[in-house]
Amino acid sequence: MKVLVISLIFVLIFPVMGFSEVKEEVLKNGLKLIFIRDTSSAVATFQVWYKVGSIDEPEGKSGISHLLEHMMFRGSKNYPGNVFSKIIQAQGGIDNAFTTKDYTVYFQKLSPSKLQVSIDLESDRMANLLFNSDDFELEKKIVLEERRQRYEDDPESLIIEEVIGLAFKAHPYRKPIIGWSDDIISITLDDLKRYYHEYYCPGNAFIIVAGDINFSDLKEKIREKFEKIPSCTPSRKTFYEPEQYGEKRVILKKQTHLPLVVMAYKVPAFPNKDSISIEVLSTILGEGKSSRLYRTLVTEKALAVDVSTANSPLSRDGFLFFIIASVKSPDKVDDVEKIIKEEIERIKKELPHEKEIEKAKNQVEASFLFSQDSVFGHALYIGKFEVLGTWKLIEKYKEDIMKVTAKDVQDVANRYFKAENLSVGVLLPK
Amino acid sequence: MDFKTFTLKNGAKIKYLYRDSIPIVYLSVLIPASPLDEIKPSVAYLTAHLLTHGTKTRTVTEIEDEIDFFAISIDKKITHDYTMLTLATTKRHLKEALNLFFDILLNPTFPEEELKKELIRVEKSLRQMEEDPSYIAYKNFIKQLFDKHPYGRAVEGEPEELKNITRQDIVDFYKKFYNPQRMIFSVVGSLEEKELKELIENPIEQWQAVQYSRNLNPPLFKKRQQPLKIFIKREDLTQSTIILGFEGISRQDPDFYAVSVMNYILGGGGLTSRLARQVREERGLAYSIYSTFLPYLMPGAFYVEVKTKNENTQYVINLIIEEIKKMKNSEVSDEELKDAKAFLVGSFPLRIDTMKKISEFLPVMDFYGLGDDYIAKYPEYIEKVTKQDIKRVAQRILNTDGYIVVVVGKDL
Repeated sequence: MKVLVISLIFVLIFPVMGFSEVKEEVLKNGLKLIFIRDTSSAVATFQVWYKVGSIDEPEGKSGISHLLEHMMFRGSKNYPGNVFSKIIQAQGGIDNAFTTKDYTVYFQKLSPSKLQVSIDLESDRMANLLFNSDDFELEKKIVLEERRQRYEDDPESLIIEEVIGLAFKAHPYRKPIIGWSDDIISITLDDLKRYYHEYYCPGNAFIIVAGDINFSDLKEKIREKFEKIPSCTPSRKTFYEPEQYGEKRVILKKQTHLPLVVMAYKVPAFPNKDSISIEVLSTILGEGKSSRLYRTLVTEKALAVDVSTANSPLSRDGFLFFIIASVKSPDKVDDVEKIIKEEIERIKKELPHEKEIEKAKNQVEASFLFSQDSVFGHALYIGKFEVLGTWKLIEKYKEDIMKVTAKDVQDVANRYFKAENLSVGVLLPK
Repeated sequence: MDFKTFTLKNGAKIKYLYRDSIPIVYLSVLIPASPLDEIKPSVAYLTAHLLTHGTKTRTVTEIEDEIDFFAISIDKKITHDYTMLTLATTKRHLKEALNLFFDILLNPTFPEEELKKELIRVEKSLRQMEEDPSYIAYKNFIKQLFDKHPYGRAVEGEPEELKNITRQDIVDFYKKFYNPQRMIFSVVGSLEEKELKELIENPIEQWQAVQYSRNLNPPLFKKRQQPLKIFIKREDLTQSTIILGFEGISRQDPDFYAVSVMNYILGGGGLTSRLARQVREERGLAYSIYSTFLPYLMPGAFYVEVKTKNENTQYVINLIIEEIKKMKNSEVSDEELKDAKAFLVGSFPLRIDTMKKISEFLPVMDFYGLGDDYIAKYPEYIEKVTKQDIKRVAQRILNTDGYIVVVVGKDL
């Protein structure tokens, strides 16, 4: 009975957790503006999102999205040289960017009174990026150093890169975002220019501004700088992945103290309803110390030092559900894998407890609320939905989560957690 | 920032800020207990971590169940100077969260079994950290700089010494240092002052304080006439990790603000710093390079860290030394000074732009005695710094004769 009461409270509570105030506006050239009025801090964020990431890259040019991101800091027509960060910092702001498999985001965090600086700089580099060839060669070297630092010399990242590459045979998600070294080396300045002209334009971008802001005033300022930039219609490939016939496996031997087991199941993405049930499954299996895998592997049997699960439902296409375990010693690797598989089989046969479903919903509610603690995080949260079509999908996401039942969780376990969807990576000490 | 400070009868303080934009609440507590107070390494760390492993009325399993079910988080941070716990909860589960939080803080039982498990976990995790080139370089650097002083080791301790720790060590540490007399709490979020008194002040005030003081010894730094070079061979690495540094300053040092500006210009300012310009932007030798300093209660370290392709190791070290010398030998430009000040002053709000950051910042501000008007005064402290100050502190701190340089990589 208690569980039922909690559910009712929950349904009542979620609707009032609406956003402070969100408005959108589309300029004539197709550029969408999303404004979030959030007066909780003295800092605003300006974010330009381009709907292009490693999923869009041509064959043999992996890493081109990320390399272009680096070049965006090397000057534009009205701001030549690498002055971008210098200008922002001299205004007391910070700026950066990041590339994902699905999109690329450029952002600043600064006082709301300084937003004009972001508008001037971002509009100039959307329209008029300079492609200085010396800078280009330097950025290639920097990216190769970045790759060495983050992958070559980091076995845990490397095994995950290997598993992703193994899981997908044809789908572009198999490529690492940073790119393979040989691909990075082979990218030319012309490649980069073509890529920029194909994907960096108002119709393939949107802007989010969050903070203590005045909508109409800001809209005019953005319109003045951005509306004259001509638009484009980027080509979109259709993605597919051929059928998988059985479990795949990669073993990597590198210098490490703790072996790592990485299991990855191919799963669908939101708005497919299954992706939401898989989110709930993720909490039950591997999020937190009360999760089933943690209890069994770390607390009770003491075979692993840590275990966790990760799902990314807000992808442009279906990606992977990861189960990652740090194993106590190499001779325990097989036991750990076996127990993980047993736990998955158990979910397939026995319905999860209502309390576990309730816990998952409490956690979704909390992460939704805590994501709004930072103006920046709040904007990111909204942007991820906008990449899928519209930020208004958040409502659907919340509704779907509330509807997930124990039976749904069991169904998705049966549908996706099978050998024909599984790739396993094992990192062992050399 | 419009926060209030209350001092309770037992000596504990509460910093309180009401915010109702989201129905969530943060509660932090700073406990003046750290490796500085340890008889055996790792005891401060283990004490904090074992709080959630059993109380008089809850088993470890029950605690973990409650944390996850109510979607509460309890972060534990152990620095070289203090321990801090931060509770985050939705307003909807506030009562359950506070109930649990005060139980773990006031009634921990430190079960023997749990200590054993935790020792194994810490040992494994330290061994794994010791595979990370940045950790290896840093560990060796601080060991040389601080010698046997607690600042010279990781707060987690050393894997070899864990076996000597007993349950009694933890119990004794808790009894002496987890004491409301000097604790600083902060509460930020959707909680009225009336509720603060009922739900938070009462449980803290019922806690009996015991008189105690910390017995703190400053580190003794060796005077070096020439650089100390340490090379740690790792055949498997494609990059060398370099840490180059020396003695820095304490948080109370009057030169703190001048050092902040100097460090920003040298290597603290991201892509725009002198070091980043020389090593990354103009030569493409590294993805990241930065300088930083650790202003503890007593003097900490000042160092530069960079990773570069093996064959560039010596070249990058030379570039770092060159930049450090330049900082000592000539004044910074007007533009550099202006930009650095504008950044440090202008970006200050970024350090407290979430409720979580505010909740953790307020007790720290009090702990280091910066004053309740610190946030308002900070711009003034920075604006006062002159070019001459920067050159003076550069000459005082940047040690081009007796620095320590650690390289982890394939070869030198």
